[in-house]
Amino acid sequence: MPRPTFKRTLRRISMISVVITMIIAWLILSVSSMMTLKQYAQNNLRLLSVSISHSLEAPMVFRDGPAAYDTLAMLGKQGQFSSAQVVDSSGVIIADWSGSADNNRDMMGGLVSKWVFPTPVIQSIYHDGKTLGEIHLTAMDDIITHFVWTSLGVLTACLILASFISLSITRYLHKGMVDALNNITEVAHDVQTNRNFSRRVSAERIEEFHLFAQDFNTLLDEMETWQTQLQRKNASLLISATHDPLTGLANRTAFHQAVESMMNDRSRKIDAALLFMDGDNFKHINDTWGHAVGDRVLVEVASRLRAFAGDTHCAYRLGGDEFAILLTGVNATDDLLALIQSLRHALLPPILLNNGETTTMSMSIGYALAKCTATPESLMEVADQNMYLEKNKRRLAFG
Amino acid sequence: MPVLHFRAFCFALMMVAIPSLADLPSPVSNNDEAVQRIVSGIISYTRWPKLLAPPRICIFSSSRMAKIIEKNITPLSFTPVIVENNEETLTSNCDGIYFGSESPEEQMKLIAAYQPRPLLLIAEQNTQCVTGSSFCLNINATPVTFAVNLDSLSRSGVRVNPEVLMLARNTHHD
Repeated sequence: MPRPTFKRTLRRISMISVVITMIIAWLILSVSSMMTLKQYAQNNLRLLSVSISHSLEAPMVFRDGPAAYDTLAMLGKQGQFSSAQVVDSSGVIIADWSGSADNNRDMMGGLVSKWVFPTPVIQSIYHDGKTLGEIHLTAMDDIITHFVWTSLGVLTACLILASFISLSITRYLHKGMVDALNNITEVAHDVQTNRNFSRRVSAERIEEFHLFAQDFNTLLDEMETWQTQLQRKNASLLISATHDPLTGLANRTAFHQAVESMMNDRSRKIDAALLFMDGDNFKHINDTWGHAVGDRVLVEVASRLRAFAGDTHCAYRLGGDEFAILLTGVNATDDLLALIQSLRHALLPPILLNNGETTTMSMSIGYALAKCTATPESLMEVADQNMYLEKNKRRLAFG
Repeated sequence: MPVLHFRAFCFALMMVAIPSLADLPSPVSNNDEAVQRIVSGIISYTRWPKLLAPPRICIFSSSRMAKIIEKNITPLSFTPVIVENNEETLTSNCDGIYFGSESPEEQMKLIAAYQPRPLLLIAEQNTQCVTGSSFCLNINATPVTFAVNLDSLSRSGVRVNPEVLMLARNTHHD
């Protein structure tokens, strides 16, 4: 079952409350107006009977039946009662008038008139303080029945109209609330799906919504700060994960990734080459001047390698005094050997140490052409083997 | 001609009624009761200026009413004074006169002698009701009816509730 929307929920609440209110109001108004109407109709009939009894006083004194009948007929023709009977004190009927109204009225009308006028009104006729007889009046119920139905109909119609008006007004008033909530929801959704942390909720008219929007905005502020901090941290972590902290060159992890990706890329593999370098006298430098000087030497070597690599090639420090360079644009072994020569040349100048002395870092360089090997491992192995071959050669040469 | 017819009819009625009354001295006929009710009714609707006690009504012994009074059917709201002739009537200080067989001319004479005293005048043998009494009973009709002579009533000095006048059935109306 789908969840109802906020708008529909509000509409349902107002609908239920309006309908219940109107039904209760209808019941109370109907009952009270019917009671009042009944009271009024009965009072009216009683008043009528009193005035008729006065008109009948003289005819009763003289026992004038025809005159009494004339009086009854004259008033009866006004449609105030349907039948009337005048009896004397001993119960003899003096006059009996009955309207020509058809008696085949519907059952509901009969019920209404039975409820309003359960019994005929009986009023005594007096003369000089003595009771001469009484009049029995039966009400004319057509008018009252018609009035009951009309008033109930009008009342119902009015309440239905009032319900419609109040529902449309509440719908209009709810619109502000619905819009406010939609505004907040829309921003939250945008932030969630598009990571658009710069969005903010505009000021709201309703106090609670406004507080909510403000808190939400504050949360967004914090989230935005966290997001930028996290991005910065991630970037620095990435750098520290792939770079050597001492020399600033890319580290072994970066080197492996680079070799991997290069070997998988046919267009780059075709003119790529790998150089492995290992310091020959680094242990001696360390032992002679200490690790600080060793580090200084490493930094200098690294900066020379970076300068040599420039934008075309890429230099790495694999660990200790081991370095590597990935060369590009190398098509033949001759080009490679020429590059190695220029690299040696770049490493040749002595390194000035802090204590004023100088030293040179001699490096054994092994090389491998990427196009001659199939896998990254074999490439590195070839370069490594070449490097150790040279290192052994040097060891033999310098003793 | 209609008057003559009517008189003949009345006479015939009397011829029938009188022997039956003679044969049965005690019975209370419906008409007796009606006559007394109408007289009491007229008196109850009549107002005399400056009269506080029940009105004294002089009733000629020649009238049917005098016999009804003797039978004492129901209590009366007025004081009846049975009189035999005009002289007795004039000395009785009455507030009203009930005529029996007296002719309208005799009635006029007596009324003139009584002036300017306010008088309620009722006659039972004056069905024409053109001269003489203010109220004229038709005691032989069933039901008993009465007529009003408005000229006489306006001269008589008593006030009668108009409701009563509306119940009067003058012969020329019927």
